[in-house]
Amino acid sequence: MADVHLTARGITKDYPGVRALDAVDVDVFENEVVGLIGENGAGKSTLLNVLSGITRATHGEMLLRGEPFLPTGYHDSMLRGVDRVFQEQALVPNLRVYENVFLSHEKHFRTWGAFLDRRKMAETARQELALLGLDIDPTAVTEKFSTSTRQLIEIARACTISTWLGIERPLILLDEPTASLGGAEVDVLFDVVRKLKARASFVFVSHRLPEVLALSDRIYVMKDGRVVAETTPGAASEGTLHALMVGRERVADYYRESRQRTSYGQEILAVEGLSHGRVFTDVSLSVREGEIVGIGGVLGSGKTEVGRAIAGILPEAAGEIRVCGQVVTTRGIVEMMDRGVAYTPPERHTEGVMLGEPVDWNMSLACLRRTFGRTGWLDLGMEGKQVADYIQRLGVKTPSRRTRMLSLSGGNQQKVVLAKWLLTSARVLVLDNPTHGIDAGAKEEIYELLRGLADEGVGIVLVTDDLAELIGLSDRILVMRDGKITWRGDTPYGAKPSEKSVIASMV
Amino acid sequence: MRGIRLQGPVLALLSLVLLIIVFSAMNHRFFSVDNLFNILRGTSVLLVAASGATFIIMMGSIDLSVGALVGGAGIVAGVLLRDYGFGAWAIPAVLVLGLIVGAFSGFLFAYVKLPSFLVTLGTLSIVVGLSDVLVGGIPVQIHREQLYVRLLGGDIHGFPVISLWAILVVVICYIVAFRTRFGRYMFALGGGERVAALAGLPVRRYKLYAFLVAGALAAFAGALLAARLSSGTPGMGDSYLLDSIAAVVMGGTALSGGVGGPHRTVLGALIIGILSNGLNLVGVDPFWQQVVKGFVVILAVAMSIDRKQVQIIK
Repeated sequence: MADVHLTARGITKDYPGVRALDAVDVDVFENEVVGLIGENGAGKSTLLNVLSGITRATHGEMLLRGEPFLPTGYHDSMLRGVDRVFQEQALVPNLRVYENVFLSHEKHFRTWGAFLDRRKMAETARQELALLGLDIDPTAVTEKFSTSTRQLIEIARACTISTWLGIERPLILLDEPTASLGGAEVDVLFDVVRKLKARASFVFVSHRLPEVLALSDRIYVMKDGRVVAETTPGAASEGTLHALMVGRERVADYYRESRQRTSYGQEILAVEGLSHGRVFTDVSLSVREGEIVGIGGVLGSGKTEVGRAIAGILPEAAGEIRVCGQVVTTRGIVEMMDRGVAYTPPERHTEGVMLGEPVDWNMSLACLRRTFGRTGWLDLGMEGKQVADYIQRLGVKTPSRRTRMLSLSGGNQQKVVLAKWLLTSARVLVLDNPTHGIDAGAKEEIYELLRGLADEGVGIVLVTDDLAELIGLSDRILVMRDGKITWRGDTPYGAKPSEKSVIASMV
Repeated sequence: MRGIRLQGPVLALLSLVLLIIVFSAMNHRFFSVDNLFNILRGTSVLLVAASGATFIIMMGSIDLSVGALVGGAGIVAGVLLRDYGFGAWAIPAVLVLGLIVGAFSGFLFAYVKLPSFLVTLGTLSIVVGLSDVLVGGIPVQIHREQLYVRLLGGDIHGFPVISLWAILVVVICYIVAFRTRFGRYMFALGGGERVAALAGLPVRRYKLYAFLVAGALAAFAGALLAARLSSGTPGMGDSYLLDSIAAVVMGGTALSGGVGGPHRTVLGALIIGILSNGLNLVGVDPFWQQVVKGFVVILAVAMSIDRKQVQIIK
């Protein structure tokens, strides 16, 4: 029987009007990886906040190796041996790697009173990173490294600080570490975690069920602030986990494949010989009315940039783009918009929505030029009506159309982004990772929406990192690698290629 | 200060009411029709200048040259009246001046992409310098009987004309902010410039427009000030820099942009106006008034700014 590392009993957290955690009981044993899954809003982040001292629970208690554990903050919990690794990385980009590794713990390297022994810091950092299999220069500036490397640096920081504080085996809380990582990078991360299991315990939060099943020793499922199940990878499958998370059986038709069209209209978008330096070369594709064409590829394959070029964000790209048979000569954002080409960017929070502005202002933004504000004077009546119409049509859950976007969940925010472009009567939608960071239930709603749009004759270019989504949703897919298209294939309902076969062309 | 931060205009309104109560208690002359008109008269110039600043701040930028332009416009008006016999035509002439200065700052900001903070700091210097060159540092007298002064200053049955102008400006700015595309674009630029650009907004053009508007309004404020003081004095616009930004922020338009509006600025300007008037009435030394005003501004901004959302202010 393994020893208990951390115990949390009856953890309840109340916010005004909302109970974020409801009597949560969780155990973490020594040298194990505990998976934590749940939809957005289930309480995973809040639980991690309580465990790492960033928030204090309203009720409940925690024991760290038998001793009462009530951290006063992130730093305090680190001193006790509980380290949080954040999804967006709590590293200062312009500092050097070793400076980040020892951030706020520099006092261990003080010499001559106020000075720091930087050489020792760098050397120690180098050794610790090497232990994790990371062969990087600790004196380099942190932002030079890729997201996946920085994630590992942050884990190294957790281990290193623990060692220096004299804590034998820390508890490391990994908060969605794989969200921005591609396939190979995830494997590297998992290797590191497995290696470290001998000297640390982990809590692993992720949206990606296959990953949680691959890495965890035990899994907790959370829903609506409660722990609804505790299971192991041996006893559970993606389907059962999904059902526990969402509360209903995962519809076999998650991507609404049964609604996939078999015949399409006329060609609505044609791209020929699109090139942009070494980012992508000689890309050609065509989309018909009602067709969903997917583009897949790992980070750096050029697929994101191809999407941007079609949207008019990269007018310098060479090649030809035809919309409804007509060549588009100047390809700026406005020109493509006027031709009926719409684009939803992958970074929803910085490029897709204005977080501080209300729903209606976000929704009407693309229409101000041509529709609601053509004369310079705003037609508030028409704006109000159309906004209300689309809120209903897309099922946007919001208290009112004046609510600020940051109060909406990710899924509803994305619906507003879609509505923004649907309001312009776009005939071609270029969607880049449209369901990124959205919970399973909201994803299904969006898939339903996209099928509906395809039925109406809208052509969709789907650029996505989610392989299952790429295959499940598209009628045809293109795979890119290093800027070139390496594979084209049909993905009809009932004859979908396996993820394994598609991945082969990506890496 | 959790829990103390109040939503939107509530804090500003409360402060206003509090100030009125306190000053009325300290001096019975405060709450008289005469004094109310005084307050209006004293706040008008600030209101006009701050309305222009509101658009810039809504966009998420800042204009440090407001004060300089107010003073500069007043001086130019005086010179045009005294040396060139412009008469009432000095008013549109000064507005054109404001447009030119706005175009200068706006172009450098929008098209050359220099930060607004730095550009307007430079413009401030240039305008102040040119004003000094123009009159050699010596105030220009404006005769009270002139049409110019009667149009902008003066009273109608005791009600200050200058305030009518200010009210007109505020109403127009409010309509522009909430009922025109220009106004909505200002909010969009402040709320998410990248998002707006991706939605087809001509970002650079509208940034320039914002500075044109702010320039014209600052110049108009200067014209009003010159009429009120019957002179164009170097440095007379200086206090309007801090006051206009304070009025905008205290009213509830966030420095990070995207929220607020000209109606909020009215509250902020009134707070400053009432504060000045009240402190005068109570007999506080003008220099000490500066100190009090500084503390009030800090307190008001601290309580009204949403620090969780502020990313740019270090």
